[in-house]
Amino acid sequence: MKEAISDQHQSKPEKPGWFARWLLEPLPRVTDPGQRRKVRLLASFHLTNIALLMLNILRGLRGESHTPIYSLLGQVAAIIFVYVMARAGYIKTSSVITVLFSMVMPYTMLLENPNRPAEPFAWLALSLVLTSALFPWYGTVIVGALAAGSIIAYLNLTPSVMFGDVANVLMLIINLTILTIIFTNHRDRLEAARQLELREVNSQLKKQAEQLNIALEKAKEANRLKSDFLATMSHELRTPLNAIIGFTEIMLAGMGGQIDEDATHMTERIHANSKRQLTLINDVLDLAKIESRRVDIVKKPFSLQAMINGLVSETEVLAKQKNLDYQVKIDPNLPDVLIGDQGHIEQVISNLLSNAFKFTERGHVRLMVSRLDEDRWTINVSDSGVGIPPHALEYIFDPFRQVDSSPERVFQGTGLGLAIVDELVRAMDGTIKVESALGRGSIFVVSLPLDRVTQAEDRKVQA
Amino acid sequence: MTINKAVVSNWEVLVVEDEKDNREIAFRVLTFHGAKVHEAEHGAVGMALLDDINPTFILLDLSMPVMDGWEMLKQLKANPKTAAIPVIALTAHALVGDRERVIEAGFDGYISKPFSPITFLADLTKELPEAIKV
Repeated sequence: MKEAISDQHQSKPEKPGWFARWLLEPLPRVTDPGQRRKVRLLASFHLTNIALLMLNILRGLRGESHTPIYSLLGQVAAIIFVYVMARAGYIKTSSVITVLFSMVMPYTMLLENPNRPAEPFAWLALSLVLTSALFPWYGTVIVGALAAGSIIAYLNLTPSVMFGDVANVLMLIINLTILTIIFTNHRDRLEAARQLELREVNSQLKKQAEQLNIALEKAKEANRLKSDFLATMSHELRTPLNAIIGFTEIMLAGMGGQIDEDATHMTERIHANSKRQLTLINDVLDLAKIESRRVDIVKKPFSLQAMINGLVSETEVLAKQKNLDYQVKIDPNLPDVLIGDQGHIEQVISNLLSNAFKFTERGHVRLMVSRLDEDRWTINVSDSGVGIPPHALEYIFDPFRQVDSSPERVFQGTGLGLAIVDELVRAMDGTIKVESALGRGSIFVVSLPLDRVTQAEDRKVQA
Repeated sequence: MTINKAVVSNWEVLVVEDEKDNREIAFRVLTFHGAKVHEAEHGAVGMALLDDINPTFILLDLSMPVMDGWEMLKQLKANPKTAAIPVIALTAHALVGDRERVIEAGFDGYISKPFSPITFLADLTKELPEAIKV
């Protein structure tokens, strides 16, 4: 950012003198309404002044004598002009007071001796203060030139129309110069303000970028800590539980000697509950991993048909236990090999199937695979089970929400299965929909993008 | 997978594992099936035991204090006396690519923890070289 600013400085061409700029450059475009009003006021008062001066010159050329009233009007305009200049911040208050005094003083002289041409002196005083307050060097030069003529006029002690007009012409030039300088000065101020603003914006941007970087680093660190925590926790939570399960299995297998029926029953309960606890821990950690976006979707060629065959042979026992009609329909055009995340797809189907069997006491469980379009496949798991009440359909995919969350609920589970399914399907760019009628069953439809492998890759996989 | 009881009863197994409970489960399952089992809580103890015994195979945990499984494997393979003993890795990290990593390092097989006492012997038999199974 710093480099950018210094670059701008370097690339800026050398500034031309104020006169060249007055001559060549367009007047500034002031965008701020307040600033615009100030500049317009300054310009209009100054133009009034110029008009009155020209009127004086005209009267002089026509041989008419100066009327104090016109000069007075000019001075009033000048006073207002100076006031506005001060308000706009172009001159200091102390300068204003000096100007006002210097303008009033010549008129007191004029009242004492009406023949004395006080005006040039008044203008001289005004210009002297104004220019020295505003412009360090060229103001003094202009005023210096004017001073000579004015003092001669004052020392002359006789009314001289021509001399007054020379002073008026000089004042006209000074007025025009001041007007120009006001504009250029104003433009410089705007430019400086713009530069300052630019620099401020730059440094602010830099600061923001730094803060963003710090925040990003902090977030990365927090995420790393969370990942480490998850990994440690999963190990720490599972180790003792696995020991419990291991020892109960040894007891149940009779490897630790024979135990009686009562002890067997209790050991079975320990085993079943430990298994449930392990599932719960695994589910929570799974969900945490998925939610912290630590799930990597690994797309590889795999056989959906073979996977489903495996799942069906595992779940057939459940169908037999409850005497359910278990139907599996797979689109005959399903390619042997598709590209997708086998492990996660299996987890999704397995979860949906185990739900279907859990909540169905009679009737059927169906698994259908069909083509949605060129590269999308739908996996449809339906059952004739208890179904889901309409109000629960809204939160069925939320973690830890179950249709029946009462302590006496009939169905056991962590309430995480569908949340995991939903997160996994979304991670694989798929969608999941559910339809259900209470007491009549549920239908879960998962659609997933599964690319076909090219012929060459197909052969490679088969080889 | 059928398990030949006579074969198992000829086994002399060295279990190197720092978790006492896991060691005991492996010990109970193997002795139940007739094998003779030696236990070591880390690699250094395991190496010291090998001066006196000549096991049929070694069950070796990967992460352990003092001397881990990777280091012990290196020492086993470096010693002509022990280089031929099959070594099966025991690991809690059941991650994709773990098997490749373990086999590449020179292990003969791989069993992921926790192992089920009921299927342990069958899983183990799958991993062992053919010569041991007969």
